[in-house]
Amino acid sequence: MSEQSRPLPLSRRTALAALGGAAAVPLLSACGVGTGGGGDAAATANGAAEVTGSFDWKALSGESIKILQTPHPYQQAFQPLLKEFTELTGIEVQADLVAEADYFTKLNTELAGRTGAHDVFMTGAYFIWQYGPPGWMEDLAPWIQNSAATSDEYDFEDIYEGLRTSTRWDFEKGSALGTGGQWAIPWGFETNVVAYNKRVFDQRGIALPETFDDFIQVATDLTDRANNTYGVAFRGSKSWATIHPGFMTQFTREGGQDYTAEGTTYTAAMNSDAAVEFTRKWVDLAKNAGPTSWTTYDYPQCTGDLGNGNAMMVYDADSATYPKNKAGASKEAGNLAWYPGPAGPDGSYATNLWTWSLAMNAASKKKQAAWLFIQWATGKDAMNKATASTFADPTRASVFDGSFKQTLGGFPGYLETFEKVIDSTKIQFTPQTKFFETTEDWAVALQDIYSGADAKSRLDELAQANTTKINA
Amino acid sequence: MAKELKPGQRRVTAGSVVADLMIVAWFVFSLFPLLWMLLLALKNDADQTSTYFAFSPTFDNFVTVLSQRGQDLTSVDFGQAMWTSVLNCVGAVLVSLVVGVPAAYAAGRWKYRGSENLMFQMLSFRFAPELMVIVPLFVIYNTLGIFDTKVGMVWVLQLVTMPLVVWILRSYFQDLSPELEQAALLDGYTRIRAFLTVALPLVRPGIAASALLAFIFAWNNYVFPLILTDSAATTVTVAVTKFLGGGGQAYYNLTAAAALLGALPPLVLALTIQRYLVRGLSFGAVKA
Repeated sequence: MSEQSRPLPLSRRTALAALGGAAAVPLLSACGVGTGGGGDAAATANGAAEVTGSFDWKALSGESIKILQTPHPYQQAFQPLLKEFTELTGIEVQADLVAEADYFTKLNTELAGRTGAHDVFMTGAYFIWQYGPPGWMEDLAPWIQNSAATSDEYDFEDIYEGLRTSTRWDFEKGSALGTGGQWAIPWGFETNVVAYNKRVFDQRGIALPETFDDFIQVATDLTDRANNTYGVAFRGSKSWATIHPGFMTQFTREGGQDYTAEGTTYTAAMNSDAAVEFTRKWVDLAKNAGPTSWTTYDYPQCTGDLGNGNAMMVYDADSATYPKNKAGASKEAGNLAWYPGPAGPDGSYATNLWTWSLAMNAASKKKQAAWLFIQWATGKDAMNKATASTFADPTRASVFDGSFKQTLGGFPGYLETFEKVIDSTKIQFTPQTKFFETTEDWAVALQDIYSGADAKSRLDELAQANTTKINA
Repeated sequence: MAKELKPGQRRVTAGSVVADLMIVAWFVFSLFPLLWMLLLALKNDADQTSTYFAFSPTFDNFVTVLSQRGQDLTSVDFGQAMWTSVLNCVGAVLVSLVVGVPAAYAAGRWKYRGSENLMFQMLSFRFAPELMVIVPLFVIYNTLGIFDTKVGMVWVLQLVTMPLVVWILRSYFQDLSPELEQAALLDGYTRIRAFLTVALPLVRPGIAASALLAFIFAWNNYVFPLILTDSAATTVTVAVTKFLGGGGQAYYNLTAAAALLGALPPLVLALTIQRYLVRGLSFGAVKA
């Protein structure tokens, strides 16, 4: 039996009210921050105009900034160079790394909190469509245009056009990429092409397939389930990232389009005749010549199978496959080669890209120092040094033509592939703020078709739902 | 007539054999991920996804995790992250014990209007997904200047450890006969002295068990250190994931080695106080 003290004058209703109030505090706080729109005007005001006088790398000597990154060959290439930035500017850099799987969770939280904890962060172009509208990102165009803030040698136009436009948008419905603010500067990127096992292709005298139908045939012929080898690996998991590499590239080459825009109204077009025909073929390819657990596949599984000799081809990012060709990195190291993948019926090599870019936190309290860092990291000198030490597609034409080509000797077809597709490489998606939600729904539709759903009716259903969502 | 069994022996029947086999199967199933991790941690880069059991084992991954190369890959000193985790978790458990043991005693001994609501509220810290409160916490931590600090981590880990300590220990105190403390009070002890010298020693197994569980829960927490720390106060759980790599360059072998190293402190702690743990967890299990 427990002892009883004098009851406190606390009724259940009062207690619940108190608990409710306490519980509401974090919820209200959560609603109050990061919902976009107005926010703190001082924090979101562009800082470029405050920089006057002549450009000086040492203008902020003694300052320190923090950058948020995710582990990646680009990041690793630049890591040893950070001390050179400090020598050049006198600015100390603290680089914080977060694993890729949780990177955007942390970044989203930070940006929503508007504390400016990190001044510079790595981002993909699609994320600009989500982080830009709430005012979380600094427009870098005024910084580029300000000669007091930007060195004469910066040469922004040297960055590939497809990349510059991919990171530029005005966030207006119906507007194409390439309009509005420059929300990030492309730092490293990848084209989505085909890596293949050259040893096996050469042994069997197989020619590289030029059309998608030939590609399907070759992949099917190379599939030998009894010996645990199959024709081609590409992503199939329930994620937006399943759509953007190989699928979107070939989808576009085959004449597919995600949305059509009329004024400010979008209509989903992933159920057009061309799209349905292509989707049906793509899913059949996954069934007949893809990995047996395709619906769980992300790029590590795809590239792992290529390196192990299980997959004969991978349709994914070029720079996701090259590490497997480094000596000692995989069983098939030294046996891999690249080609653009099949052309479309009209000879199109339209290719979707991914770019890791550097962006400035709009809430940063050290914007000029942050811009000096972005300017240095995306400049010719640092990028030349980084690509000389580590293999990563540089975003500048001068760097690609300069130091980068010298590193390509052991990577057959890589250079030719790059040169073939670069002029048609850009983001092939329609920019829109519901990108992740609607594109994940697209991946789910592929999985449903893989599981037996009728392609036409499932894509009709998807198109109807996505049209409603993005016009809301 | 059946043969008489010696002490400790049991009769072998078809049922007991099946039961034993099922237990073995369960152990194989539950321990296989650990075995897989150990194998992965012993593989080189080329073998990490290409082999199952046939490979030349190497301890290089453990060395790399703790070396400068590991630091270059992750921007975090893994040894330092382990030490930070130890400090964070020990700090969090100590604070939870200092505050939580008296709270559990009070909750176990006194009932008043709203006392159950209070306990429920404390338990409710564990109801909400951590991500739901992380944005306001992030803002508050930055405002207070405790972002990426050990003090900040010890504080936030109270959300994890305190409910555990209070709820486990409350049942211990409820199981203790209050006559023991009443006898001490009759002998002239103050309430605090009766608590410290009579009740507290009797729940030591419970304190050990709850402290260990709280330590393990705090050690394994991922979301709070992910969002509320950077390099200065990074914990082992966050540091482990940084070895995963990215952009086609995955270091599963290094990740497995780091995870195994990261599992050592709670494992050693659990084995060290195993006696208390078993006793502590079974105490109160037959409460009416």
